Amino acid sequence: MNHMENIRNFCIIAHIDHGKSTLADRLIEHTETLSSREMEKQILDSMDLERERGITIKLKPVRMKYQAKDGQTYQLNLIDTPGHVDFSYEVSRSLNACEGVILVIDATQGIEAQTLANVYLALEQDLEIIPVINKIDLPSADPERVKKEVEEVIGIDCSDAVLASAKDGTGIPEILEQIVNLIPAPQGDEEEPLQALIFDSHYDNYRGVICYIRVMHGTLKAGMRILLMATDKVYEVLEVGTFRPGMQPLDELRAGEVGYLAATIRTVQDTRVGDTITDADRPAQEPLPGYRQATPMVFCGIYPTETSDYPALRDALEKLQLNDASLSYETETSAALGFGYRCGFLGLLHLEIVQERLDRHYNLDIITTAPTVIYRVTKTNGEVLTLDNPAQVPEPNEIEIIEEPYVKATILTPDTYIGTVMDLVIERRGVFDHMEYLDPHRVLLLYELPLSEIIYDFFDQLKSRTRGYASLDYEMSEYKAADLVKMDILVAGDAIDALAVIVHREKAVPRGRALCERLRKVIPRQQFEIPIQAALGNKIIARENIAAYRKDVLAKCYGGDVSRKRKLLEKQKEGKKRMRLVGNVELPQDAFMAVLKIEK
Amino acid sequence: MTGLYIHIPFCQQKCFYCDFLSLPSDHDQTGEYLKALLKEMDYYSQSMDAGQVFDTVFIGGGTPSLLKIEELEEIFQALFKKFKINPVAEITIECNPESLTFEKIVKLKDLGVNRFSLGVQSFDQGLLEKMGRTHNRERAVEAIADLKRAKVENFSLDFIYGLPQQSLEQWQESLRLVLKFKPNHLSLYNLMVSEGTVFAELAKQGRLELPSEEEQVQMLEMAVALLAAENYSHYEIANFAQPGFESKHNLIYWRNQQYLGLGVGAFSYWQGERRGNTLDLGEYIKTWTEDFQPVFSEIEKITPQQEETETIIMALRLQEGISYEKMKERFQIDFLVKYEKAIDWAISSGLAEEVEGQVFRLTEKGIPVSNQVMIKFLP
Repeated sequence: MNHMENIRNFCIIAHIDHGKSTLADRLIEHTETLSSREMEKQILDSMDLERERGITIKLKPVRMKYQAKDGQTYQLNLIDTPGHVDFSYEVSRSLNACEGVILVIDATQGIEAQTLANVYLALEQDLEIIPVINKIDLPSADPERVKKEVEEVIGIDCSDAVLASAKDGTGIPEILEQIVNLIPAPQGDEEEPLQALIFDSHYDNYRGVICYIRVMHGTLKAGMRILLMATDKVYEVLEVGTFRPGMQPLDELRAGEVGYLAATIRTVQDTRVGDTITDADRPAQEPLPGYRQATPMVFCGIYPTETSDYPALRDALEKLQLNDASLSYETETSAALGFGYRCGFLGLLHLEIVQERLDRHYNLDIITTAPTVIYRVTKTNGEVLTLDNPAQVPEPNEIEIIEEPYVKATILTPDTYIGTVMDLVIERRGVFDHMEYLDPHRVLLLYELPLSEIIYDFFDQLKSRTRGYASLDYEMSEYKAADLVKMDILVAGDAIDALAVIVHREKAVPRGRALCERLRKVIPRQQFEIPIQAALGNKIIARENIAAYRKDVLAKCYGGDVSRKRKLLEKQKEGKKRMRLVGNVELPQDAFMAVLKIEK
Repeated sequence: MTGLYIHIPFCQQKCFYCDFLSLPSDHDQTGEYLKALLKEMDYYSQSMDAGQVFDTVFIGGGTPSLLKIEELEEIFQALFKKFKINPVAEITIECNPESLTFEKIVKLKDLGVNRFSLGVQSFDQGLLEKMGRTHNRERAVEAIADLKRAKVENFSLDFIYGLPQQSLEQWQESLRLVLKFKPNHLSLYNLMVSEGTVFAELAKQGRLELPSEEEQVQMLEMAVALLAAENYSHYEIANFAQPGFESKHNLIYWRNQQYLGLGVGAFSYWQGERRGNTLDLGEYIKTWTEDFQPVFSEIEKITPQQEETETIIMALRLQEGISYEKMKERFQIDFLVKYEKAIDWAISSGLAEEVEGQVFRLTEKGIPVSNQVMIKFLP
């Protein structure tokens, strides 16, 4: 019998909080991949940050052994996926490694935009979709409505959808049976030249990069020389194995199987997600389809608060990049902030994660400048510049046109909030494309929006204005010309390059005012008055003043107060962390992010 | 130098700005409290090094002058019986105008008090009422006259500025009147609105109209100028003295030297630890009557680095400043080298200065923003 007959490779697709990780835990528990003593809640999300945020960033495949009702034993490979729009390329590569997906939908909430986007990715790849209606233990669960919604919106049959509660274990045996019965076995040829898909990797201090792979054709063994087809690098395989969920070495990985390989690869840059691994001595003709280089969408400057931390920041970024191929960085110099790095990210969440890792794991005090997208500037002399930093925008008279990236945004909202959502999208220069009722109360709205408008707290606004009911997904579309101008921000009379922003001309005045007002609030008073101004070229369009403080003194300080006063001062000093002396003004981190948090 | 502090927590009424430990005196537990206090004195006198001498004694509150003459007598007798007090010790008692009588002054002098600190706070009747003080302007003047009549040779007056709706003119008038009495020492406190006070409550309701920061700083500058003309030195951020009349007891705090605090809520810096007695009067009384064991609300072992930091931030409050030689002696550090960055910053900002290459201290410009300088010296 073909060894692949009893293999099932699958992903779980779910919206944040719909119970993906809990379901994964239950499957691992039920198949006794780990004893319950070893079970730690949500073991697949192993990084602290992921736990805290309740989201998965890293993909960790796990192999389970399952004794099905037909009496046969199956090898189930579960590939976990990140649930955030920033990581949709990673999701598509994970899906490529599978033959089926479990679509988890919250019985109290229904389909969300993110789920929809990932389901479409799965449908495009012709994967078997097993719907699971989760959280049926909750009193507000309405599985019938949700089933109907799935049928109407996605067009998949829900008559056999499992009603489950990952929390209390309801439906888990049924889900396992459906995985075995509905998801097709992988197809591939062990005798063909090796083709294995890299769908993720992590960096191990001792063994170098560990690639997470799905073998499509051929067989992979330790000792083989392999070729990475996109980067054209050759390595010798030291070890292959599988995750259960800890790493367990095997003799070989055969066509249809999922596992890992180690080959003393020193940088994840060489092992790009989506790349194809082949046998260096008997290479495949073609790489697997669908590879593309991950392209950063959002950029910001990262600077050490203390200039002396610059080398430490470089080391930390290098280390982060070992594990995160989609993070890019290059040196940058700011007149205001000195030496730092311009870093590129897949999206805002990715940016925040990197920022927090630098802060927490590397204990670095950093200043992050406001994120920006890549603008395309055509100069009057015909030269075309791509700019990831507003400070680099040429003088207005040298600019022919500025273009900015647009996205196609999908917003799902209860119909009571249509007006609210439309107002928000119009404020953000959105262009209406299409609207569709998914059911009598839920509406899908399609818009074209500038990416730059989305990175300005769009998601937060959408959530707060719809009380959390609307969801958003977007994909890049194209560059479009717009009437954009560079707005300088002057602090105490000096333009601060790190605070410059690109705005739409019609919005310059209100945004300039809001930004100055916000800066007035976040920049602490100092010993002198500080004017804050917004300017287009030489024209001041908004101004605020930060009054000087005159008094910062503890009136009394007697016996019992000494330690308390020391602690008060320590607290005050703590508040000064992440402050950067620019000229003679101390600017807090919040000042650089002020543009993102303008109150409406 | 070693100080001894004794806390008397009772007050007729809690003032609207006060966040010290004080309790209403009508709720009469004074007798029990004094018994407990004497037990605590016993405890420390028994457990202390035989050679321990106290160079200053400070009876603070609350309102110690509220106590009856017999009660005061009891405390002082115990004090001299149980502890070795330096024969030239400075012995201070805090008083309020409403409870200080000529007889009490005379008796207290007999008992050994050689320094009186009188909480006048203001000479403006309207402001006194706004603060919740129980005395009036006349009573304040009488109390000072009584001190003079009893030939008290060292007395200090406390005032508060930056009070609700206080004007610069009112403050100047108060200061002019104060100087007529030629107090040996003045404490001028800028009002701080602390959590849990009546003022804090009013502030929350938007009913507390304080002078602007600018005006408050001008009030201090005005006081510094007026007092300097009368030969008072501005020897600590909020304190002024005629030559030789600096508060020895408070200098112990500011020089970060050791002191023992007795009574409910009192703090000590003793045997390298900063300890706060329980803040609960009932508990305080109970533990000393039943268990004969101190109960602390907090206790912190002061590390050498913390001691150094505290020494610096306290010394920055003083006109005598930070002596490089003393820092070397006490902490074996070269102050100029270790704190070079902070020193350079403070001097170049005009907030601090170096005196004769030996001392680092705040300038008059640095005083109103002293916290900004102090935090630069934190580790």
